[in-house]
Amino acid sequence: MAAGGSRAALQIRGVAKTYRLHDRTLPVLADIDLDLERGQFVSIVGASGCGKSTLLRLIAGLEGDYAGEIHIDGAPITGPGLERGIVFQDHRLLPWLTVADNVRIALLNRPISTGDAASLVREHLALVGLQGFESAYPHQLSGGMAQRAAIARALINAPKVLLLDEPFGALDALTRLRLQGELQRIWMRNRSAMLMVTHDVREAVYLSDLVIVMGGSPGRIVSRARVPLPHPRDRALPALREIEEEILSQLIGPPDASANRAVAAPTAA
Amino acid sequence: MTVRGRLWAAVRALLVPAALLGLWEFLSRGGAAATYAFVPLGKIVAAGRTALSNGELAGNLLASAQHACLGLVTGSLAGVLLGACLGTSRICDRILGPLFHGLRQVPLLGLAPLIGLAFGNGAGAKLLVISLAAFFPVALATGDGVRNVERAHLELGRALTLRRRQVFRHILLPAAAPAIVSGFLQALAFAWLATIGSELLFTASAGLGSFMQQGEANGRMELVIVGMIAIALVGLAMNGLVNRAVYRLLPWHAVAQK
Repeated sequence: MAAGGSRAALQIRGVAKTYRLHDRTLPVLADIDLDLERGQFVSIVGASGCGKSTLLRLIAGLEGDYAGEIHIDGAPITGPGLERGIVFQDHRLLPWLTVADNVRIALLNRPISTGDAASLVREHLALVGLQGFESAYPHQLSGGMAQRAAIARALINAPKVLLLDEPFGALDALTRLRLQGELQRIWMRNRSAMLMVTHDVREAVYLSDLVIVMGGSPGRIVSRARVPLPHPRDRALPALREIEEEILSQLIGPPDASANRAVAAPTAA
Repeated sequence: MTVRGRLWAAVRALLVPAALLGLWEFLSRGGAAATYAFVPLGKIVAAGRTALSNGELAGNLLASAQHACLGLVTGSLAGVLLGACLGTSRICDRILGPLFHGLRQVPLLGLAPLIGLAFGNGAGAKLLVISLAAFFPVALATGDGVRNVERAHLELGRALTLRRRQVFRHILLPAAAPAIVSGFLQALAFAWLATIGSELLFTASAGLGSFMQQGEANGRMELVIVGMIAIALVGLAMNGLVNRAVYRLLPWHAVAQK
């Protein structure tokens, strides 16, 4: 395994994905090229149905059967793997396990001792601010706390890339803001590369080094906006607002070439 | 609740049973034939006391409970195994499903003669009948429980690279646990019924069924009634025990239900 320091944590080359529905083919992703450097925070924004969640599921290895290449740290992916962590929109904690056991379940296939596992769990629950809730059950947690536990579960294997699929989409506005700040703090300490899919442009700009705008059908990358500001950031920074406005105008401004494609009927097989 | 309220609640709960007992006692005084069918309460109590003190009741009760538990355990384990197969594997469901659903329509009473022919009239046949009684509800409930597991949880298992066995142990089985428990509660009632039934149907050995049969053969209806009361009390006790165990075993389920 040649893990050169310059190699991208995640490398996506020419990825395309087509769904087959009965006798029709439905292209959902086309020509996706994307690099994530180590420790970089990248967000993908775009309208519903632009395929951004599908892209995340491809990277997670939860869906196969695509064209192109996806490499993690230089190695092509084959199905799911612990070097990638994933946080879903619903927390997906198992209701029959305590918070600590829900985090520990991610360690089942790691060859480590019970003692090491326990201290890893403790450490990661502390990282997300859930110390004291080890033996609580998911139904006893608020939505924000449950999502924190899900983040701890996803980070416990120290993934090279953490995939976040609209992680705060199901939370109320205040909890959402608080968790955004928390995620920034966790990321600055942990420095996994992060790839987050979100509807919320402000959230994307606040947290990311790079915001990818996707659009069209099939979904493709329309533009990339760098956010060249140091972390941690003040969410009231005017520079953030400017970038946000720019991205928003792309998303809801006059239709461009790729948006026009969305009107075209799916090609028959 | 106040002491007065509790007292009133007790009175309300005992109202109908007391009236029925009164009616029973009244009917028992309607001549010799009536006294045979409706044994006077005093005679029942006396018979119960004797059976208790000479150990006859306890011995038979223990024997029946042993049969029931053994059949319950074997039948339920087999039920969980088959139910899990039916619920997880489409091939298994296609091959075994129709046979399973066909067989469970046949009342156990209808199977008894066949079982007697094939397995004799002894302990083996009894165990089979009791196991079957427990097997069907547990298999059915387990199949449903496993089939209704949330897809999102299975997907989480995939993302965490869990192996088949781990998915079964950590996701499928706990997801199906509440369904399995309600199947098991049903199995408990059926197995207890089948225990007494099989004791009446097959060759006599120690057991509450045989105790009642002997009483009937000797024209002592009071013993039959004592047996009935014992059966009801044991059934109630087992149900209560399992319900209590459920709260211990499935804390998330118990709390979520409140």
